[in-house]
Amino acid sequence: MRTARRELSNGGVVVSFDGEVALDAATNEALREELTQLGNGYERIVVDFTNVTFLDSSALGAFVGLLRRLNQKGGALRLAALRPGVRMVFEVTRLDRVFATAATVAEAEASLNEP
Amino acid sequence: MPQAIMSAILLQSGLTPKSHDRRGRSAAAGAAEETMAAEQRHFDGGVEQIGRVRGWFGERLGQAGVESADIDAVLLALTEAYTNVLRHAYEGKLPAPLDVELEIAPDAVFVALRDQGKAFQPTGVTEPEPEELAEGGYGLFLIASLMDEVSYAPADPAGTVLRMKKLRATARR
Repeated sequence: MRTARRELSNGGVVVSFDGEVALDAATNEALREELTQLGNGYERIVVDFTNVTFLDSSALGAFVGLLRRLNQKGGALRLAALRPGVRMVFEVTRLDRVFATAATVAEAEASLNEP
Repeated sequence: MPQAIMSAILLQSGLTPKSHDRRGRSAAAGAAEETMAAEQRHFDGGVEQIGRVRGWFGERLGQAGVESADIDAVLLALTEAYTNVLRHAYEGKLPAPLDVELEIAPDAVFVALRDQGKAFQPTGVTEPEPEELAEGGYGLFLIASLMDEVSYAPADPAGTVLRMKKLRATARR
C-alpha cells in the first residue's frame, strides 16, 4: 500500500492511494501507520478514496481512530469519492453520521476551508 | 431430507417457495435449474488470502448476474467472517485450514465457512453507537446486518461452521 500526499495552501493535505487497493486485514497495519502519521502531522485532511476498491471493519476502525485524533486537535477530516461498496460500510454502521464525505476531492478541499 | 422434498414439491406444483423459507443447503442445490452447483475451495493461509477468496467470489457472483449491491454485501460479510476465523478461531496462528463454499441460487446466495479452530459462537450482536467513535466491534454487526440469515454451529470434530444466506435483489422485490 503506497500513498501520495499533496499539501494544501491552508496547511491541510490530500492523501490518495497509488493504484487500486483493498483495505482489509492484510493492509490494516500499513493503513494504521499511515493514518497515525497523518493525524500527527496535519490538522486538516482529505482522504481520496478513488482507488479504494474495498474497505472492511478493520479499515473502518483505522479511519475512526484518525477522526478521533483530529477531533481532539480541533481539526477536520473529509472522505472523498467513495465507491458504493465502500460507502455501504459507513452507512450500515451509521458512521456516515460522524464522517464528513464529499463526492469529489475538489468538493472536499473546498469544504475544508469552511468553519 | 424434508426440506429438500418440500422444495421439490413446491416447484413441481408451480408454487414458488417464499423467499424467507429456510432452505437447507442440499435443498437449494438442484432445486432449480438455474442454481449453480456449490463450489468449494480450501485455504490455509493468513490474512493475505482473504483478497483471493474475494476475487473468486466476485468473479462467480458477477458471472451469475448478482446485483452489484448484493455482491458488495456478500464480499464484506465473507471478509469479516474470514478475518474473525483467523483472529478468534486460530488466534493468528498458521496454518489456518478453512473450507469455503459458495452457492448461487436464483433467489439467494449461500456462503459457508468451516474452520477447525477454537469454537466460536457469538451470543449476541450489539449495534455500535456511531457517536462513541469505537475503533472496533463492527465486524459481527456488519455480518448480521448485511446477510438475511446467519448461523454458527459446532463442526465435527472441531471448529465452527458459519452459514450465511443473502437474498438477491430479485427475490426481495
